[in-house]
Amino acid sequence: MTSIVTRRFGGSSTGAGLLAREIPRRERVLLTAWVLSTIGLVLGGVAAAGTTYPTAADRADRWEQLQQIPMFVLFQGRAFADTAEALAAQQAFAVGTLCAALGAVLLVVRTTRAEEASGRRELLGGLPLGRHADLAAALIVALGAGVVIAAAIAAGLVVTGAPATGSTAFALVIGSSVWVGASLAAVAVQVTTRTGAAFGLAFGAFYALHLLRGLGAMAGGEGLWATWLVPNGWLENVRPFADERWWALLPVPIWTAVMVAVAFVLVDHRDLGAGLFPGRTGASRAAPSLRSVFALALRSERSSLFLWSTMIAGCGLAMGYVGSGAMAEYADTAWVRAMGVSLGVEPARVFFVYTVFVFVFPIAAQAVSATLRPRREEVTGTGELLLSGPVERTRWAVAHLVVALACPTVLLSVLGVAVGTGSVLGTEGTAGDIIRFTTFTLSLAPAVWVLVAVTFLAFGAVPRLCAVLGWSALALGVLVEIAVKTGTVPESLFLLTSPFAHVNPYYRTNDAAPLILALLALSLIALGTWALRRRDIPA
Amino acid sequence: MTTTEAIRVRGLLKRFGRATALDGLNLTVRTGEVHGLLGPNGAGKSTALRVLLGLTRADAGSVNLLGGDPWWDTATLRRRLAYVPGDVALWPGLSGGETLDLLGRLRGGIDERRLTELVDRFALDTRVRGRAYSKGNRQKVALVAALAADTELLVLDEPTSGLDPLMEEVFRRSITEERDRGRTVLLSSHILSEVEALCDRVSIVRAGRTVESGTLVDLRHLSRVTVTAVLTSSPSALADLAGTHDLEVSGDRVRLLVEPRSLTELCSRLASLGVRDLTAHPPSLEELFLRHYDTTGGT
Repeated sequence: MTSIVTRRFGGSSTGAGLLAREIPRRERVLLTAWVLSTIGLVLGGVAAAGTTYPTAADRADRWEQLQQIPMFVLFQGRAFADTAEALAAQQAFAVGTLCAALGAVLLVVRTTRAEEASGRRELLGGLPLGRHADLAAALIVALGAGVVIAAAIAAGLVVTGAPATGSTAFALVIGSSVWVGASLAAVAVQVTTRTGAAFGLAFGAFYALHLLRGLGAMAGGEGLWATWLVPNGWLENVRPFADERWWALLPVPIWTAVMVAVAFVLVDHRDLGAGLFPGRTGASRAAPSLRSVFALALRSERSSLFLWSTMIAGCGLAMGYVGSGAMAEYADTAWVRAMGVSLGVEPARVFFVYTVFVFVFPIAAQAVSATLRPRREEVTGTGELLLSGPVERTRWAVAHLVVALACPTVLLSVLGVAVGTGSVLGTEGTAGDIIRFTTFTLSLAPAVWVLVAVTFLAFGAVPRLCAVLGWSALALGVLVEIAVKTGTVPESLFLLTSPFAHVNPYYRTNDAAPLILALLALSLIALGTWALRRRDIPA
Repeated sequence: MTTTEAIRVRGLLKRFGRATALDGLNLTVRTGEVHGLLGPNGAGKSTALRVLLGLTRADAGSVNLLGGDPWWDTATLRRRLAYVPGDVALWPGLSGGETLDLLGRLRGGIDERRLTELVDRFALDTRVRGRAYSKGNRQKVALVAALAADTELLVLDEPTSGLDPLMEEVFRRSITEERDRGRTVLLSSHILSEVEALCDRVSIVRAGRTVESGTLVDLRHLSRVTVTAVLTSSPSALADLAGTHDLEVSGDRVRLLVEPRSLTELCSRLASLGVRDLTAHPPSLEELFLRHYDTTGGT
């Protein structure tokens, strides 16, 4: 029986073309968002560089800065010339390659592992599809999208007046990162049975390779050979707009071919729906602490909170260690100078505090996600299991809410302590910094609580819309934050629409603002609880 | 409401937008009985159960569950009932054992001996995590949790839809034991043999309305008997008999459905035609079901 099946479909990609034609329709939102944002980020970044560094002196300053501050090389990339185009390519390298790879990873994971994990793939079980068909189809679309992205970027750069050779080289760098990302995802989805883990594994690997490249580049001189060890290093070594080295692109198709071949071999050695490693089994009895809905909510958020704490601690330590001095050059923009004058603080200090402040947005994103957890429980059906038992729905929702309020509070404390500790370890800090920074970061918490409360109110009152409303409220906060800096939105509107405006050290109008925000959050939560008591579950 | 009724529902109405899920549903479940709520997919069975659990609020109608209103007396009433949803979802990261412990503790305590006995009986591997369980195993986790909870009332929504025949048998034995211990069971199903084997009384639901309710004997009384016979002369004389349906003739063989009121007349006609072979059997629940959903408006 097996031999018949193997002879007919075994290891083949029969049907891949059929599946590949279906993917662009099914994933049209992701594809459009990914392709357009990658092209937009790269073209926009290059266009902005022209205005940011208009004169030769500006460019020389920037060049100088890039030589002196290793952080730029680690997180962004090396610069190879002080022309406007070369500096623009340096600035767009990290964000462009990361965005390109992010979309490729999402696409491949969503069309392969996610389909298997959800059981949808089994619906196609009766069709004459080869074992390799899914992955082959995903790769056809992802690699094809890479070609489209590269062509569009090359054309776009040439149209805006950049030299054709450099434009082509930079477009190929971005297109190649799609290929690298897709090939990493192709292997990652074979390894684990969990969609989220496959995504984390693939994109995490790409970002790790980016940082490995950065370590080699930071070492400089004798250490530069290390940049040749990883695909991201090859891409950096292409040197767009600065005496291009085309042959540095050659290993990319080889890498892609090898990774894809490995992925196909792995497909042949696993069952549909299974991973390379069997899923770990759990404990047969629960820990004594798992005895309340609150304990359950905490346990559900545990790994997310740990991951976020680690990332924020790392970033905070690095920021504190480098200190405000390293950011002095960046601080020289109109709104930072205005803030400095109005607060009576030197601009570099303002910019440093602002950089710490900006972390409130990703922390708020984690909080919104945590607030939406009871909604996810409601939709998947685990909520019903609790609520049909002796768990009262208010108690259930409030337990999750308390965790969602605690998460940003914990993360903001971690941020403050990390920046303070970094500052103490660095050159310019004193022991008081830990307390000073933690007081500052914790003063931001009420703004996040308001966002949590808005999401919770939506969960109670309009459950079907609560995810959209929660994320939109955060997006609005981020948008007006940017818009008010560029002067497109008047300050009054900014203060009206964003809770973050009232904890911002510059715009804060009132010392009681955190208290008022906390009270606002509390009343929204009360309203949400009232609405929740009146509605159907699931709704 | 008398003390012998565990559930009394009258004229229950529930709309979701333009769709009507419950359209005047009536339901009476007596204390200590196993009651079957029978209907095809989309008949409103799950919505009715959710109203009984106080998860969904009816637009109109009265609900009395264990002497209280499930929407307003949620906390006190739910301590007295246990529920198994139709499509059991478990927390992906919690193992079966952790889930059972958590659900038991939320009820205020676990009877360890009983839990262990049920886990053994259903052959449940408690170390597997929620995300890795098959549908049947997720259902077993919820069933074990509900059976282990010492409640007066058990509400089960299509409880065997993922179980294999062996486990179905274990489930039936468990339900019979629960009834003998004095628990009331309300179970929804579209699996007729299960209802036939387990239930004392049945309510048949179609399009949000109760079309019939009673013991299986009551319902059969209303229904046609299937008669198959091999005759010695031409069966044409049967064609004009009132109260018979679906007459099929092949050679000397006839098969027809007959209403109980016409049975006597049929027997005398058959006798005059000469009978070589005769079988008559009461309708299976299958046939009852088909009759109700074919003739009352079609689905």
